Amino acid sequence: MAAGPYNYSYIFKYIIIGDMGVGKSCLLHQFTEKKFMADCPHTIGVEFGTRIIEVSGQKIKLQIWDTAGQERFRAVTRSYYRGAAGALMVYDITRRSTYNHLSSWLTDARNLTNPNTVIFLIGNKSDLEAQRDVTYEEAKQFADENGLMFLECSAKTGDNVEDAFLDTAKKIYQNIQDGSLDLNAAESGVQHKPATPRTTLNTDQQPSDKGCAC
Amino acid sequence: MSDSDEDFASADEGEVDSTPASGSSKELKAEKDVPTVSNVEKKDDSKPPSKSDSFKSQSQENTSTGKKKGKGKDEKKNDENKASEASGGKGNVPAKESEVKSKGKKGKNKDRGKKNANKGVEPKENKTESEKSSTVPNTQEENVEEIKPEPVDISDVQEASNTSSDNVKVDNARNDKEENDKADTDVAKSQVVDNESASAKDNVDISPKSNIETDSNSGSKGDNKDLSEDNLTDSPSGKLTIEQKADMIKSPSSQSISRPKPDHTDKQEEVLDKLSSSAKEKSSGGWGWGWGSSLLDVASNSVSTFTNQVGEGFNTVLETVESTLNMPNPEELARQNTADNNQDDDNDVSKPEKDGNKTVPKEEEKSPSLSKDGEPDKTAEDKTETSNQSAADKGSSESSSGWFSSWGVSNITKMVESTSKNLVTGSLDVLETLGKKTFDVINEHDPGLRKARAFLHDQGDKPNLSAILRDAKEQEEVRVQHEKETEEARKAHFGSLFDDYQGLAHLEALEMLSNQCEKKVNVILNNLPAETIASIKPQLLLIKQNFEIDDDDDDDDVVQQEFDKLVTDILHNLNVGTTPDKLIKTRQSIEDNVKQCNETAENSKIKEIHRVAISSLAEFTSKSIEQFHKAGELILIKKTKDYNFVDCSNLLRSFTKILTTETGILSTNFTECLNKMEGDDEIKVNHLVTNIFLEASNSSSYIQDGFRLLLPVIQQAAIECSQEPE
Repeated sequence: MAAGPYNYSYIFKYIIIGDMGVGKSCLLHQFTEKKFMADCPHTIGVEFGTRIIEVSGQKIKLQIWDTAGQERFRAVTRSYYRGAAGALMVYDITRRSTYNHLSSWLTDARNLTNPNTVIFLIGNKSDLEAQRDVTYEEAKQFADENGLMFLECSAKTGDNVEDAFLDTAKKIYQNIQDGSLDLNAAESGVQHKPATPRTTLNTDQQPSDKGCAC
Repeated sequence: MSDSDEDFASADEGEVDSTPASGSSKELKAEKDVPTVSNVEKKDDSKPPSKSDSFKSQSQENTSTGKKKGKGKDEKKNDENKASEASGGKGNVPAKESEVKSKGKKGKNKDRGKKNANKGVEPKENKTESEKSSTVPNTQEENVEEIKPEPVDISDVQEASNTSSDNVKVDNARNDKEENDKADTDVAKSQVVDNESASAKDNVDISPKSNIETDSNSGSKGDNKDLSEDNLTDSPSGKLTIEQKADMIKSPSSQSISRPKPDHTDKQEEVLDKLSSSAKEKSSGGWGWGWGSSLLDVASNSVSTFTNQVGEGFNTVLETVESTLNMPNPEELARQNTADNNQDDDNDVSKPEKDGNKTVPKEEEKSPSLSKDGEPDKTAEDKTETSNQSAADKGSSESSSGWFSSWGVSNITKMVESTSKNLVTGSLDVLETLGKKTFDVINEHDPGLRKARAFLHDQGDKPNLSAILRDAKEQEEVRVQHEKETEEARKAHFGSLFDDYQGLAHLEALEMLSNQCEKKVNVILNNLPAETIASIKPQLLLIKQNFEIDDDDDDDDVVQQEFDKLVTDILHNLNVGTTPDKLIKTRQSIEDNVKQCNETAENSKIKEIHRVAISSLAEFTSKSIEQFHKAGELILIKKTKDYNFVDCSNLLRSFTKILTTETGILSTNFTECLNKMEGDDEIKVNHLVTNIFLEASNSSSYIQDGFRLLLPVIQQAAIECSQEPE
């Protein structure tokens, strides 16, 4: 297939999961385009976004799979977990129901990904403090209990969005470095491109896709 | 001084290396050496504290000065021994041996690496190897310490020469010896005496020179004591140099004047001669004695070599300083000085020179080629230094004040000189201390400096910085060039553009979905009862038929099709909720691109048109795959009972046909655009046109792949829908 030259040495596959309307696509858009998409349509099945980041001097292409949150797509989206190196599990801090469904999403994430997949819990819409329905503390406790990384973000303001994606990448890269993530494993979610001589490329990056397809 | 530091380092190592050997040595000489060293250490412990405690405790200081003088004499004696042996007609063989050895010792002082080579030179001496090595550290020890007491010695010598009469000196020397005797342990003394008295007896018999005033026993005893004194004084003075050099420099007058040096009376020279001749005899005689004497020779030889070097270095420094300061001719000063001070007239002007030569470096003996100027210079320098030091000091002692007054007019000049010399010596001491400290620190963690040497050696092997930079620059240029090319190629590379437009991701996702569906279909079919399967089978077969694309029907002569309308209709009929908005939008933008290419038909734009064409095809294909992907996802969740999946598959087949046709149309449009630019670069145009058609077919392949991946999806949907009602 497409074996063109790339200016990065790794590809990490991320998958964003969570209830409908928690802002998964907006988080992706904020991360890839640094813009807030006010009226985001429902995602059908899965959409994609990419961005090249740098971790420890290594250029890493994040291939982000933004899944549909609607329950009817649940069966479809379950096919896409496989081979994800990172899973961003999103809930809406202003809607407790989205928080309550986390265990279900977490079960899917645990069952359908490999044991080394980094799961990052994101409490979105942190800009809507007045309507907060889930405290930071209880979410933090949930994250700690389940060994998840955790941040409260705002896709609207962009607060912490970058950190959530980058921290996940750092954790994955760390797993690669300490050998706990086997790149040769089929489901590692990481593609290494050691043969490429372009790891230190400093030219302007290819603009990521024509926007997320929301 | 850096030379001496190096030597110091190597001497240290030598000492460390040979320590076990000295422990196991059985020879008389070796046994003598070992206890002597221990004596030195005892002295070391007791002396320095008392010195540092009080500047006034002159008796202590005097003792040490006296010992230094003794050492100076001792050196002289050794040198004479050696000289006589080397020149002596008798005992040629041993003399040669000793010379070989002395060479070896020299080598050791300068280069430790030669040690092995030296051993190789003397295979006969294997038996006495241990004995030799036991002596070596001692010699080196002396050498090392010699560097440090050097300035002090110089003053001592000078004082000795100034304080006239030989008798006084001898007396003093004896005093010294007695003092040292007390300090010495009996063991060491008796050993030394045994050894040397034996040699003295030999001398009495053989050497005609041995008409000493004192009896041979006492004379030899004194000499022996000097030997031990040598060791005794060396280390304390060495310590002094490091720790209390400043004190020494400030208050040398009291030391040196009250304790004139017992230097080279006739008596003593005779003793020396006797010793040397005895050494000769011994070496020509039995093996054991021959070794003892030759060892002595070697020791003295290396000592004198070392002192020479140090002396020269020091001389150079002094001369430089002097010339810089525009000093009067030091030789004249020296003459004037000695004339004033030596009232006994035993020693004329030449005397101080002699003294200086004996105590400091044995330049006359070791390197006669050295210019005569150097020696008087040095002696004079020594004098001036001492006197100035005493002047700088409170000038407590009488003789120093007499000295001081004799200087007269040149007083101020001397002050300047002394200050500068203090500066010089002080700085040198600091450097020396620094060097020693540094060496200690390094050696502590890196015994033998192996790592350090390996590191330095490696450094030499590495390419230098400029070479690295040059290489890096070239590589960077190549890399930039390569990047430009690849970036250009990438912009016109269908595969990477397809990825950029997320076509690849959608294809991958569609593949995952398809694989999942296929598995599930198999599972369902295996678990369904036979009659249910039979009821579904016709439908499944029809669906499958629709997915068998026969390449026959590619009557691709279609030049124009109402793409937007066709696609919209099909997706509407498909009725799964997906809209062709993106696809239509993309195709329209491609159409605009084609128009633009036709309008700006410039020759220079060939590459650009090609790039746009490929990019357009990649984008169109991506959107097509996305469309299939979305359709598949939506079909899979379609739970409408009466949904006709056979029709669905048929529609999708038509849809695929429209898409592949459209890719053909688009590619043709671009190639037509290119072909309009006929002219000079026909080959290139043809190449690009071919490439566009190639990628168009590639695009069609992707689209058909996408379509085929939908089969398991539709199958699963069909089975699930058929199951639902039941």
